[in-house]
Amino acid sequence: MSRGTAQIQGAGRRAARPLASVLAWAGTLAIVCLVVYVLLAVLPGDVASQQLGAEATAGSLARERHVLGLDRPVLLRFGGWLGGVLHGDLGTMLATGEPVSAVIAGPLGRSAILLVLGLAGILVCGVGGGVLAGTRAGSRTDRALSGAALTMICVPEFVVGTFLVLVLAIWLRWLPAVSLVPLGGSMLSRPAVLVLPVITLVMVGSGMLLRQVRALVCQQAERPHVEAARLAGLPGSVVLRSHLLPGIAVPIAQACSAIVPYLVGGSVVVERVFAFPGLGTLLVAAVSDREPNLLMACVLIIVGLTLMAYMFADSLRRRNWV
Amino acid sequence: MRPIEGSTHHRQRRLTGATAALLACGLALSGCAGSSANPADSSSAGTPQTTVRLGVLGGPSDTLDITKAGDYLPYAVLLNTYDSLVLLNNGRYEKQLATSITPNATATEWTITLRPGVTFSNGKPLTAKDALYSLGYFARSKNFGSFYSDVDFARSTATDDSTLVLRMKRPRADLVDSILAQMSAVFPAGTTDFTRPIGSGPYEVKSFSADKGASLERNDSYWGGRPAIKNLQILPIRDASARVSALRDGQIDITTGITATQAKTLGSGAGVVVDNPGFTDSVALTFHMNTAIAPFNDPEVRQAMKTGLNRTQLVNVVLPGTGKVGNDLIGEGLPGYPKDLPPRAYDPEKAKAVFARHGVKNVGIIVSEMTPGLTDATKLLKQQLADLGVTLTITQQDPTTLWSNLDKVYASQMFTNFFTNRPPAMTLPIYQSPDSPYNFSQWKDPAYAKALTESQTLTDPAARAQALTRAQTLLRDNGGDIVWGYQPNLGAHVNGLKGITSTQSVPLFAKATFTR
Repeated sequence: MSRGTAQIQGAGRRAARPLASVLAWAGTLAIVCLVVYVLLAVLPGDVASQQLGAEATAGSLARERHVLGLDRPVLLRFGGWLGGVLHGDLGTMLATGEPVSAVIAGPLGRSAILLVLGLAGILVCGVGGGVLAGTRAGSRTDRALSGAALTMICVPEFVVGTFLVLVLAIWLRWLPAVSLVPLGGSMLSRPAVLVLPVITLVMVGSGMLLRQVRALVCQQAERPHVEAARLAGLPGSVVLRSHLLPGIAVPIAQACSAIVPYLVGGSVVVERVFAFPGLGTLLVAAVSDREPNLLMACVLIIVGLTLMAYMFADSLRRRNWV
Repeated sequence: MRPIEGSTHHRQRRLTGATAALLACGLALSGCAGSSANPADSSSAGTPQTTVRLGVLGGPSDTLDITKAGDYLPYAVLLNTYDSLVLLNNGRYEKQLATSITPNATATEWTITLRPGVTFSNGKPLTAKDALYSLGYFARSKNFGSFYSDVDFARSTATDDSTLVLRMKRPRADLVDSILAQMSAVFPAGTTDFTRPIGSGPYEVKSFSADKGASLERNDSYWGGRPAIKNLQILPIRDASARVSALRDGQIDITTGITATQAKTLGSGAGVVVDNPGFTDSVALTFHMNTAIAPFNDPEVRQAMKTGLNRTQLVNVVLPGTGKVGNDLIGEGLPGYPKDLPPRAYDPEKAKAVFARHGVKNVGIIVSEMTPGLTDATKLLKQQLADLGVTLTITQQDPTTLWSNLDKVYASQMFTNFFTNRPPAMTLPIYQSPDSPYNFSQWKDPAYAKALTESQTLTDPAARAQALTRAQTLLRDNGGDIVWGYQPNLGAHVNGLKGITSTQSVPLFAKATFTR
């Protein structure tokens, strides 16, 4: 094999990789969606039985299900939904006929605010704290930071959230305990309601990141070229910036992107604790109201995002090997 | 029968059929009747406030078509926006748009005269045509259809702008109590799009979304007088404990549908008043004995169960602080409830002897935690029955599916349940008529059925009242329903908010004032 052919083949593989990733992402997402769709369908009760309740007769239920299209086989309904999604149509609410995209817009925007602020906080505290602890391995600062991080990892979000509510909202009365959207405004027009949910996410999420980053920094600090730079008498900040961090930038980025799936899942729990009117709250409502299209839209976003973050982390790892 | 949500139970369900009717406006909500009587209120004097924020149960499926409303949010919006012909306000029937409602001699034709000079928020006059259209709209709906099933709309007419004649398919002397008071809101004739509802009530809807809630502004030319509070914000908060927190935070001024424990915690804080409406806005908690099968097909065994229950213990344990002992009838404290009813005697020894004599050893019961406390009550019943020599086997059912699969309930010996407390004229025909799907005791006594029919058809009000009392007496003495306790629908508001009344658990703000 000539060198030229090998280069072409390598380039081909590199070009095929993103495409394969996208296909894998879409395939996994479709499978997860199918499973959730079927699960909701096998749950007892549906919109028809909820609407008719105790007065339902076999005939009236059958009529209502027919009107709502719930009498078609579940795979056919899923296919219909998937087809709609591929054309950019998320479907309508069965109970009211309102488009799901309209129902989901507000909560999605609010969850996005929560996620962005949470992610920013986690990156600052997790990476910053990890570098600080790692470069001072064994010191009192390190022990305090690592201990705190471990505690945070061990305590579930709802415990952290409830504790914060108790102290900051009920005892000290500094912050609101629940996150209501002001009528005619957005979450950002009353930023106080964002503080506790964001802090909860940051506390738990940055604990995980901090420990990963600390381990990477500790490992890297023992590498000969870092050791050499330090022995050469370079200032600590220069060693850190020019010799230590560049070597672990990719693994750190990887750890950061792996935080996103946690963040998405954790925010569902956090939304519950603070009655935050976001995607997580909507997801719970969709299940209890048995609204398939609404639930699927929530799942599509939450699972899609999670998978995307994992795949991004994965692609970084591959690049790291190259 | 609407499953309500509480601190431990976040599910809410849509109302259905006749259920909607009685429960329509619901259970979880607590009204604010009697709030002004609270001494904590009288101390507040300050600047008048222009905005009141109400936090209620709401969800993504809410719309402003009242016949499709499942949660409290739409009811709270619409009952402050629409006027009704008749409204059950603070436990009393109040004529709003109607000035007179009179039957013919056989109660087959009713003439309703409307208040003159009332206009809708779009400036058009409210006429009998609008009223007839609105009632017809309810009759065609899933939620309210069964209430209006005896009204013959094909033969009913608006004879002039202010007169409406309703013709019945069969005599219904109880039109006001059992039908109109249930739902008789009026909107313009021909309305099919309810995205911006138009009413003649004290408030106008300025914006609404199921996601964020509703913004209402007062109707300056309201015939009942300009409301003191200019803006009303009605916000959806799904979780009861979140509603309490929001009130404590100062993010809302009033809320409904909170638990006794939450009320207790709130009560100890400054600046907040707990609303306990008493019987008028409460939930009746019941055990039903299946009279169609053994052992409860024997009246003596039913009687033994009624006297063998320690109701005081049930109330003290399950409804601590705010509950009241029941007397086996729904409707206590409301119009039409029998006066001077003696309390049920408690005689465990006698009950034990009856159970032993009839060989009652094992009984099965179905319970579903549709409202907090039902499971606890059933567990306590099990303990009490064990002392009487009876083993109770409890079967738990998922509240989401209970109502779509009632055959299991009909086949069970006992069933734990609850009802919204409404006047007997409303509840008996819906819940306790022999053929009702909610007649869980399956008691089909001809004498009771006759008295019930007379309570709907006799045109002489005194005779009708007597028939209603007779029906209730028969039901209490011989039927299979045990109403062991009442739990008021609790709510809370900040100091300085006064004059709120409630209809079927929905707070009304027409006469409210707010200073702080």
